[in-house]
Amino acid sequence: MKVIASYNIKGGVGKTAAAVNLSYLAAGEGASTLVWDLDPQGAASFYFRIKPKIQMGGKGLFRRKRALERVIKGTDFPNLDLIPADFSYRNMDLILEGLRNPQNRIRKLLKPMAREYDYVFIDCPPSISLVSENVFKAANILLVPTIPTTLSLRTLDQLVTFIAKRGYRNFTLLPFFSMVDRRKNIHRLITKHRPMGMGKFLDSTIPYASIVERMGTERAPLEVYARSSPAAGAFRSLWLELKTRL
Amino acid sequence: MTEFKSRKQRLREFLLPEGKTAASFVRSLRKLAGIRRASAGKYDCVLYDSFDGRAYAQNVLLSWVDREGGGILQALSARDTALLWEQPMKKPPPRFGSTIDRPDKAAWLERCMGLRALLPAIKLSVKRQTFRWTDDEDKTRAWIHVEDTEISTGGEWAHAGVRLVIEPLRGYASSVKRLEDRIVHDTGARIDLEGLFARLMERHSIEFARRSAKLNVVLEPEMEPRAAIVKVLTFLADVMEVNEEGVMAAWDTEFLHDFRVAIRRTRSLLGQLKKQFSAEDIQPFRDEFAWLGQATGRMRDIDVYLLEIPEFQEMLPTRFRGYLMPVRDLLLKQQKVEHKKLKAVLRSKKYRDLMTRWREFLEQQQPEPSALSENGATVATVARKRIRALYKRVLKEGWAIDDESPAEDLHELRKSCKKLRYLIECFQSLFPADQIGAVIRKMKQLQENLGEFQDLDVQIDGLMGFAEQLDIDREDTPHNLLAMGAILGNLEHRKREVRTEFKDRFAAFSSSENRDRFNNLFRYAQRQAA
Repeated sequence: MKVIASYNIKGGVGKTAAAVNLSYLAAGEGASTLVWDLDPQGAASFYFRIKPKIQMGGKGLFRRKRALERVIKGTDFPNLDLIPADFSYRNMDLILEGLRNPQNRIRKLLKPMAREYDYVFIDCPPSISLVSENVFKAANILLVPTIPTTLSLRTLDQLVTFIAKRGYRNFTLLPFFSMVDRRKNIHRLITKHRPMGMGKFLDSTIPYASIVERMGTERAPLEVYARSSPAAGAFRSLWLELKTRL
Repeated sequence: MTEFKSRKQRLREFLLPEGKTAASFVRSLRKLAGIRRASAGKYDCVLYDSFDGRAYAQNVLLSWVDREGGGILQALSARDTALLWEQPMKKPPPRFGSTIDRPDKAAWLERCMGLRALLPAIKLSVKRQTFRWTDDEDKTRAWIHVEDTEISTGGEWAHAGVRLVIEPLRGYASSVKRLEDRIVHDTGARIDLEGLFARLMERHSIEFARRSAKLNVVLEPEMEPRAAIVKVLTFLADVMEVNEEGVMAAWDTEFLHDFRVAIRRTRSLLGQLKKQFSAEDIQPFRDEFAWLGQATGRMRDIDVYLLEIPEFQEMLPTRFRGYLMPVRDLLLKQQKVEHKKLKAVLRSKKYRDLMTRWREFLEQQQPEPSALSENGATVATVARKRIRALYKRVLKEGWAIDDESPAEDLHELRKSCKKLRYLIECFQSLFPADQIGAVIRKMKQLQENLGEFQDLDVQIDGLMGFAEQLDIDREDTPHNLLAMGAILGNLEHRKREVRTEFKDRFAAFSSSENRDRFNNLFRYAQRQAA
């Protein structure tokens, strides 16, 4: 089982779009796939039309036996399941702090999932916190959607420094350019001259496109309602490239 | 069978109330709250299995559905209609599941099918209407399929039944249970635990049994020997005929294997029990079956070499494995040529005449009342005598082998063992199943050793032959030869090991404990005859 976390310190960079669309593509190939919507805003759950609520609440996840198995919901798509978000996730740092070995709890919860799933995609909440540290411990790939702007690169740099400082070695950091707007000079410039020392950027880029934003009204992955759009094609390329790095 | 990464998913199947058509049932269904039409269409559905029904033997139904938006291969439980796993598959499944690009499912299919190909067993045409049962977010909680199914029988389509399938999505089981209760209550549908596909396959499984090459001919101890032998020979002729199509089409290598085993068994029986027939009658058949064995042998040798290539590759360091490709290519080329020759043999007048005359001969061999027991013998007596004589021969030949004995002696013993095994298998129904089973198991252990010794010899000879056929001027040939040399070294080493192991295997076979097993069989047969 490979755990792929879609993560960025910043919000609104396309983390959820990446997690939802890539997981859909993985499942479409027949791989048993799970998405964990860890963001209390519950955007991934919303896209899959699943209520952002788990019966046992965030606390219950760490207390009950086989907790994750009990809260998994099937999406409308074959081979693709989801652990919904819950509003209590906003306090997950506090929940984790009260537990023993608080940085490894998510990894421990996911371990038995290997019997069932080939891929787990985690849609992470923004910011660096105990939750994200848990994700760093659990992930095999840290996929970082990055908007090609100076500020976004600065945040990526902060992340790279943090990772180096903490000495995480279990995952590969894979940033990729997201929400690329070819009309903007700075986007063109940064995507052409990729920054050094911030992990090896994937070649595939995801364009800024209103069709991606329509995921909110369609409440479905891009492939479902706009298969022939360039953005859907971009996610397919990203998935193909990502698979070579797994 | 749980290694594939998927969770068994419950599918519930229902039978429609008596007299309801799919259309009238759909009208009742649509009255229920939260039911939305998702899709409707007609598609082909094919239930796949090996020629001998290996998936069904493990209670699995493999269904490939060619539906809009892409086909899908599903493994369903034949016990409770649960979905075990599914794999998107646009085109019909490949003949060998091992070639699909999902390693877990490929491995599952390979384990299930062995060397056998996936072949269409039942063809269905399904008119399917699919509904979603949704919640207030318009999220699907369950898929509901109403399927009007027709089955293809000899080119004609016949109505096979209407089924209602409810496919709950994970995490919605309890609410879907309420839906199921409502459907039962409001529409009068009944839960169908077995399921339509399992019922169709069960009917079809008669074919699987008919195609089995396993010698399970039931004989009665007091039967007239010739009648009993004719029964076995008729079964073997059936095996040959049932495998002809697969040999011609080369669906998998097991067709030819089973075909040839039936020839060998026929020849062995005719040799061992020749006194039961007039020599004049059977000699031409013995000659012609010998010809048929020979005419089909080369193709089988090539099949075996090709099956062994992955094993040979394993003997080499990873970076040298590609150097065996020219050998594989050479074999594939030869396989094509040999298969053409083989087809010509099976189409030939000589073969057709042989099978026709053979069938006629077997039919004519009805026992005459006066000849029922020329010397008072029943099949039980004949079986005991012949098995005993061969068993003694095997012991004698085996005891005569020591460390200095030439390889030919082992080959001779292997042949005698084979004859003994065929004879025991032909007459196994005359003996208690547990006793005969134990004897066969012990025989197998000895035969494995002798068989491997022989196979290694054939492999070594084969590799030497291929080495001579490689184009010496090709740049890669020295590498190919080195790789083959490395394999030869391995094979020679293994051959020495097998030769050493023989002593222990034969000691186990000739042990007093095993001799008692045989003697018990003989005593049992004697009692039966008396």
